[in-house]
Amino acid sequence: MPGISQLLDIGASGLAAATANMETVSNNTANASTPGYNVESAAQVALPGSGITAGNGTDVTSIQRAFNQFLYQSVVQATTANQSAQTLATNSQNLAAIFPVSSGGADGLGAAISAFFGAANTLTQDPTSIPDRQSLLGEAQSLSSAFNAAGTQVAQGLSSVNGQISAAVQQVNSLTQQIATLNQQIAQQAPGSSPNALLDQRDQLVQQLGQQLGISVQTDANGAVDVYTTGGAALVNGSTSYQFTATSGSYSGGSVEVNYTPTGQDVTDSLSGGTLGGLVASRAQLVEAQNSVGALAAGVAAAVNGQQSLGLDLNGNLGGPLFTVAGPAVYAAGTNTGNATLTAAITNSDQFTPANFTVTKTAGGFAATDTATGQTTALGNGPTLSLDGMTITVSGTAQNGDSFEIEPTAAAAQTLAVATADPSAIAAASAYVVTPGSVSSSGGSGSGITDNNAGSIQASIGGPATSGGLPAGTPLVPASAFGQTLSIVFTSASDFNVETSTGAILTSGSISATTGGEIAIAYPAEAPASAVETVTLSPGTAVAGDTFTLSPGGTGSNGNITALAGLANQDVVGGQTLTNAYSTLVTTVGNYGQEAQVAATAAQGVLTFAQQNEQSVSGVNLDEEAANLVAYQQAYQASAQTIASAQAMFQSLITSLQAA
Amino acid sequence: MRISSSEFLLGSLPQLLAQQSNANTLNQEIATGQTLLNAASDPAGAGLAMQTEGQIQQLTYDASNAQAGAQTIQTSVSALEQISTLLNQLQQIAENGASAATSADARQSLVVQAQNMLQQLVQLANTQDPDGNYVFAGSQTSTAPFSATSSGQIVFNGDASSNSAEIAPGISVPISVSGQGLFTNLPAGQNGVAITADAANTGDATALVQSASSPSQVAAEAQAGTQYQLTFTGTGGNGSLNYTVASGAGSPGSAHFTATSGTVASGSVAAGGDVRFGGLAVALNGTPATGDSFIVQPGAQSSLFKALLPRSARRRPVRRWMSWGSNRCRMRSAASPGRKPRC
Repeated sequence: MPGISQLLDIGASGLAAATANMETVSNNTANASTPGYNVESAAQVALPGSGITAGNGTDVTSIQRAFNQFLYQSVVQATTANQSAQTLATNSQNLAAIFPVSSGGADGLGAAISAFFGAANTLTQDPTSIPDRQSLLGEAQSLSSAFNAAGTQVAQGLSSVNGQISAAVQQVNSLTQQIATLNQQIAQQAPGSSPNALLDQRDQLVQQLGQQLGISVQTDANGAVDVYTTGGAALVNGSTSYQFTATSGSYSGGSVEVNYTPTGQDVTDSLSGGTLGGLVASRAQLVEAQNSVGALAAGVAAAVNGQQSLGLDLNGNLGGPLFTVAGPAVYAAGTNTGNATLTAAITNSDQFTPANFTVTKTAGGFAATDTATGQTTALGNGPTLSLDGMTITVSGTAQNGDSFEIEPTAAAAQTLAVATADPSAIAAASAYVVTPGSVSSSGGSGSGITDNNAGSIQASIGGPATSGGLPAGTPLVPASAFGQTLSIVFTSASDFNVETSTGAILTSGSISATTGGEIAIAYPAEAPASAVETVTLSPGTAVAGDTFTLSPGGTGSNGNITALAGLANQDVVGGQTLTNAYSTLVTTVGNYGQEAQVAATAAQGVLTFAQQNEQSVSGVNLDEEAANLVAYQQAYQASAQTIASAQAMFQSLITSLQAA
Repeated sequence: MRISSSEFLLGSLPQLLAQQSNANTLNQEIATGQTLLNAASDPAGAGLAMQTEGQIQQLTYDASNAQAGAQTIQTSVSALEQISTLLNQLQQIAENGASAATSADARQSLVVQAQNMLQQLVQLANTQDPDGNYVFAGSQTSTAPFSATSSGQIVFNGDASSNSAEIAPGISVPISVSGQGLFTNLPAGQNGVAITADAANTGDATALVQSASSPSQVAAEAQAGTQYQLTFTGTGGNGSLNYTVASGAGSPGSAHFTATSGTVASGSVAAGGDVRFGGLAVALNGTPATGDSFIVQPGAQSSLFKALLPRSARRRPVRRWMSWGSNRCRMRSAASPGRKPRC
């Protein structure tokens, strides 16, 4: 039968419940801005009475946190996406800043390319001018410096990204360990208890892990979470965590790879989302930019050096290289069992596409895989392999499974340098000029050329070509005679000999009266393979004795420097002119920057939305807490009052008993 | 919707930061006056801007080439104008010399004048540009293209190379011209037919082209490099002169000429008459000795300087510098007193 003591019990339960509620309110208020804190509330139930009673007061069964698994997961996912997008955006914006849009005379690579060809162009106006030559060398120096600067900045970006990957891997390892520890602590709690603080802490750590890489989370029956990468590798399983290792990769190229420690597998490419995913994506962009700018540098060097070797410098010698540049780097895998070494060279910079390759020996010969696209090309058995304008030479024997990484132009931009400081080394003059008539060595100061030609043939220099492009049967003067003064001497209306100054016949041929003819003079080995200087003979008939003198171009000839300046408009890098190739590079990195920025803004929006949704359930609202505070304060006062009332009732009872 | 207090306070922070960043970008654009701060702000625009800039640069270079080329050409043109003036003066001297009223002493001084002018001509042909390059030397711009040999002959030391410059995308024009074509490869003789007396001739005869009865044949022979050797073999009746004309390809006396030669005309001609062969009529003045010969060369070329060289013998033929089929008269020598200029 209920009595006054019951009343006291009910009042006491009300006080206890109000206190517990006040505790949650004050805890909520205290943690209003604690990251990862989920608003808590006391779960209160009415205690039933027995018989016809009002009930036995109230009981606080647990302190619960307002937590919605679905909303929490969407925050984790949005965090992952946002972190990846922000990382990529920062890095790609930095990358875009390395390649400035040259406008209004701004410095940078584009301006340097333009200035170099501008100086070459100025030299065409007076090929003997030493100041103009000096200025071309100066611009060549600026060009190589601009390439070096761009190359170095990209390399620094790469090394920074590699460093960040290592740091992120450490972070991931530390987080997975902490999560596993918390899982264990949570599991050790008494059944039915709610370790809210531990849960909040763990969920916060999971969210931090989500910042580092893409994960999927599953909660098991014990309240522990299992964490997997989006690729499916387990990171946390109950109280066990699994580690990643950052290694320098199987090839010693300096690129950091992420290995999954339990299996030793390289999982770098399967990482997506989070800082790590963003960094891996940034690195791919940096590598692409490094290869592209390297291909530009290598292309400039190859084109300019090639043109140099087709003309004569101020001393009448065949021009030497103006630029030096590092060739392709080849790294052998540490696991190779054969003794083969590979050397690679870019032999046709116009056909060359900048990309890194892995060359693997298989039973069917060598196969190259583009590391960016994964596209595979069969190369055959060698020993000379041809790949995208590159020639790869295999020496030694490779075993099946041996692999090599080729970075064709990774170092090119950084290593581009000017090979000469001598302004006279610029090959401005054509290799040969043709003059009607023969050299009369008779008397006087100069050995003048006298033109007694009676026929109607005209001869002109056709310019450098490759021997493969000439019609079959074109008379070819051997390279051994290159540089000598030669004579084309007609022996009949159509037949001619090409002779040295001493009359030795080097080659002979004949021309057609209607289509004319051509003569080729092979360049020496310094020039690109199969390069020839061509002499064009016009249609017509000759008279025996007609002679044309082929003499090396004098210092006033601008034939070769004109061609060098014209390289600005020729497709020399991957089927593009240098300016266009550079603007393609700028557009590409600019696109990366812009896309990443757009994606980052969008990801930020998604994250904000997810956070708002999650916070609408789990966040602390101080107004709410204030209202609760008042309500629970009053509840406490009211309960206290019921106790006071009970006491008064009890007092009345005692008093009445004493009176009786 | 329920809003958490921290969300209420900080929720708008990302937007505020984004607006600040936008304002910063706009400030930079205003400060630099450029919207393309980097390629990421407008990748397509950046690419287009750079390509357009490349084209502008190229056009600037072309314009600079055109200007420099015009200067080079101006140097050549002013030298050629001076040469033209000199040649007019030489023509005047030649006409003065040819006048019957001119005394022998006066002629002597005219010769001195003409020789000075020859030197001036050579100097002009060796014109240098402001950078010290010989403009008519082809590619051998550091060597004077024309120099005198020990025998007084002016020889060409340059080559026939000509520099060209790009003055518009894909358009290159020559900006220099070799002195060989200008001064040495000129059509020689009258109507492009040169007659040279053999150095061993003992008679006092001179020969000159009277007319071309068949210009087309002369042109064809010139094309084929035909040369004729007109040889006087003796004296016939009534003081007429016997002759034979051999024709062949190449210069008479050469193996090739001998191999291809054949007699194309023979007969006798009265003193002062015309010898006809190969579409030509060659007039004789004076009397050749037996064995004297003349070489007749259609399509011959000669040098401007050669015509002004001092001659030891007066047996050299009349020379008229005239292109076949052309009305432009280049110059006449002093040795044609009897003839009026045709041009």
